[in-house]
Amino acid sequence: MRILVAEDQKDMNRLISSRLAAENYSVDSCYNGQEVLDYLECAEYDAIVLDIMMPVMNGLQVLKKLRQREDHIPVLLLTAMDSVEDRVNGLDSGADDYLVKPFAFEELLARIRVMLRKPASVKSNVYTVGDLEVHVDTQQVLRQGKEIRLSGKEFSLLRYMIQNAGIVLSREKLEQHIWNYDFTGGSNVIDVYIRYLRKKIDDGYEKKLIHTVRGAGYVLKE
Amino acid sequence: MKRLSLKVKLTLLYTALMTAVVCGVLAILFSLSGKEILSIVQNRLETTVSQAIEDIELDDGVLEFDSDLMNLEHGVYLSVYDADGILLYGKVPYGFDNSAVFEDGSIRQYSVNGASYYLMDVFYRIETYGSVVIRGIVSITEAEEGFLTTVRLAVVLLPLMVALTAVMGYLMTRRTLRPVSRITDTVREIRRDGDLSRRINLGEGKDEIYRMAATFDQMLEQADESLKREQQFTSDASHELRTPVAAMMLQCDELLEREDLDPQVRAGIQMLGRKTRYLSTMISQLLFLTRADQGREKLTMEIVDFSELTAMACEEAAESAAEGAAAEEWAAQGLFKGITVESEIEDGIFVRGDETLLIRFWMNLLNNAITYGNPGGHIWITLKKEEDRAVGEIIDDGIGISEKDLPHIWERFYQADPSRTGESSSGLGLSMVKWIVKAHNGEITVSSRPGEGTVFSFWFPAADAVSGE
Repeated sequence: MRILVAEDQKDMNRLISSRLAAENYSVDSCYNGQEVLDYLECAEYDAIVLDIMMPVMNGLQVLKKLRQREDHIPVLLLTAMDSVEDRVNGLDSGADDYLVKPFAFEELLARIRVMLRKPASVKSNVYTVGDLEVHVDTQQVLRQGKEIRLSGKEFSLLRYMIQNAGIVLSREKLEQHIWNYDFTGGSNVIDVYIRYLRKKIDDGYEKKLIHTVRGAGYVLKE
Repeated sequence: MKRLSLKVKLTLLYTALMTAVVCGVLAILFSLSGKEILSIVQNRLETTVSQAIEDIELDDGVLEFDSDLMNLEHGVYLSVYDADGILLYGKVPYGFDNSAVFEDGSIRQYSVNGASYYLMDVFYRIETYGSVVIRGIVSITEAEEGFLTTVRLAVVLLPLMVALTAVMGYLMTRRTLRPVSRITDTVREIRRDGDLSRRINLGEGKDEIYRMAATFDQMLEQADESLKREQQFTSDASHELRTPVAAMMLQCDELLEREDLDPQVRAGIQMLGRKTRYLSTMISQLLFLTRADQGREKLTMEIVDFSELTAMACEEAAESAAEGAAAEEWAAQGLFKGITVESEIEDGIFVRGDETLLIRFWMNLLNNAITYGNPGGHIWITLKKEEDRAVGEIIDDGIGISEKDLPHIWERFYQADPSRTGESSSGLGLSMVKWIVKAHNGEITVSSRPGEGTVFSFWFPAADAVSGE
């Protein structure tokens, strides 16, 4: 899952970004409102952590622009303690949630998990396809009850695929959502990761869950 | 002399000077003193003897002696004798041989039993009595004793003073030069961590060293800002370059989804798509290397099953060498590769590293071997554990690299055979490989014979699967 962190205070931004990266999210950072729009034009993100007070264009203005052009990307607003007005405006303008600064990182992580629940009907932190279970809070993967050890990126990939279960995901899409801007490109790296996942998740089980769709990409389904 | 620190040199210098000066002064002092003391003793003798006559009185024809004569004033022994040399009053130093002949007025020196004495006689005429001789004897040795004590004291105090000067001088010098050490340490830290945001921050002060520190800080400020501007540029360039390329790729994909395309048009669009993808790859790699240059590339380190990773990479390469996207490109160029990939991989070798970069490492090497391979050729991969290292090789029987080109292959954009590369590799693949190996604390070397093939040999530090050591 790929997240854009928009916060003009560089130290704060760095803290949030690295904490998210440690949770196996791919993170890009930007420092003003205009940059948010620029970044969104260049890549696909799963969520935005948006500070309200930013130069060039503030968070609320960015949010309004996004919703105006029908972009429904999940947005979590970061607000200062004494601005109820901002929060009200934010929610009304289309934010999905907000967090008051200063906040505990655990709370940020939990709210992001909630915000990223796909499809919208899912109400827990566990995704299942067939006998495969993926717990996004504990980062555990189980198939037929047996735990499967995955590396950070492997987990990210699986999570993204299972949250979009049944949808064919192109290599480019996978690349966009698993890695951030610093990824060096090259689709055969993705192919190797898929191979890895296949070996760990499908090998030895009768039912294969990861399928290749020639010319289009990969899909996780029963 | 060159290898001593500045503090030590300075301390030695003025300690030496101090010692020389003090020694000189003391030498002069002592040589003068010696004479001084002796002449003082003589004066005392003379004075005491001269005054002694006042302590003798004639009373009714009998000589009366004041007991002051026995007082040893100034250490002078007084004795009075009549004209025949018979002792009338007074005393003589113990053990003194009093056989000296009377001589009026002169000071004579005698040594008795290892001790030295001054001796002086004065003849007096007392009215109505006759003549008497007053003899004064004073011990030089005693006076000298006093002098010797002073000498001994000096001999003890002088080295102490020199030592004290040395220690205090060293401490003071060190204190003064401490800012210099601090500057050196700060700069060293900056170099080690590559963190230009640090400053020396010596504080307020007017002297030369403070000014030097302040100037350094200004220079660091400039360097820091310059670097930040460069980093900003790289990041901006990344944006600027990616956006149009992304749009191009999207457009190609969109067009290819149409059903009504002329085969020639379709082939043309596919070609455009390939070129665009190549461009995109190259931009990514270039920016990667720029970031790596600046030390900004962040690795996500994990314990990776390198055996498994290698196996996966080989399988992938084998498939794409035979049929995958790469093969399609080659088919489009009229080349059929049909290269076989064989591997001999020892199980259970773990490495501490960034999984994505390690995959990248193998893919670049494999793609390189495929690109420079001959149709129907082979690639052999080996991986084994030797002591604490994961050691591997990739051997191909491709066209090889000439001796002239061999040292340059790691350079950016170096293409040994431009006609071969086409679209499946940029000139940056091996630069990345080299960087990845270095970032993982390993090494890689290459050897080749033109027309026969190439061998890349490398190693990474192995890690323990459990402890991660």
